[in-house]
Amino acid sequence: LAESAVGEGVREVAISELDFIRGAQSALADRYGGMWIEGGVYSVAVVERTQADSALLTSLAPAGVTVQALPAKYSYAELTAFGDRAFHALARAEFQFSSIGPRPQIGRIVITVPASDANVQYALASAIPEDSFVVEASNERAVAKDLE
Amino acid sequence: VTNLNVFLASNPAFGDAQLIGPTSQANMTRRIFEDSNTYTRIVTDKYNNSDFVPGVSLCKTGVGGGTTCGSVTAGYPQMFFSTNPSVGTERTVRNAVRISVSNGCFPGDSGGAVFHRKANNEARAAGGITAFVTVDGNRTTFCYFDPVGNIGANTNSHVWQSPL
Repeated sequence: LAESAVGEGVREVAISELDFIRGAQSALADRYGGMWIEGGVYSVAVVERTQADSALLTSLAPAGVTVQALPAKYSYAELTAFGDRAFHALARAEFQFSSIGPRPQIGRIVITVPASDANVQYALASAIPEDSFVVEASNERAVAKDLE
Repeated sequence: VTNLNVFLASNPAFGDAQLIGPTSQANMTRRIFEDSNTYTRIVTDKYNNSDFVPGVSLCKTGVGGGTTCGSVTAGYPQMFFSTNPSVGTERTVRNAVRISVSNGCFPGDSGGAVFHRKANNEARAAGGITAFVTVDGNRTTFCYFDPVGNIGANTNSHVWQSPL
């Protein structure tokens, strides 16, 4: 990737990065399980991954970039849908949550709650596959600042 | 295309760029003010929601915390439950993106531009800051922002057609 210093350690990446993100999503379509960038390595989760996927992603990547195709059970679209169902399940049971969202690095959605117990796990497992989510207990709070 | 939060306390004649159009069909401003009253970038590009994958480099600017940079830590779409201690409101926010930026976000940053620095004083628009995250009451470097695509869709505003 063409990079140049633009301050504060943030890399200036040419169009290559967006091209690759969009190209990989388009090429994998329903099998796209999410993507993340870490240490200059582009990791892409793929449902029913084959050796051809690695070759495909490598062909889409700019020269010199390391790309790895990793196996995924659920597509990113499925994880997103599970997140919605998890939200409704928690709301029905009147359980609090702090955040809900897909985390492709572990192939699951992550649900952050003030306190995790068997009741929370049961409510979620009744709504979505047990291997599609992780519950993390945290005193995390999001503070809206729009009126401050 | 601003609100009172975005004007610099040191010089109210200047404010942060806002990516929110106030009326239907409004053009979003293309100017992003960084750090001072004089350094600006021009938005020449924008992200789609699905472009926000963890690791994408972004910066934010705002009156509260200034301009700091980091990266996406949880991609679109994230849901979060937020509070506003000032007015005691609570709400669930959907379709956000979570980022980590140096020093985190502060009151007054809300609505401030989130963007990717490009060469030649240009920027790729990402969205507007909506909330910061605390753990055990302590501010973290994590913040949430509303993606520019959703702001555009919800307000029927456009980032592309603004005059320079």
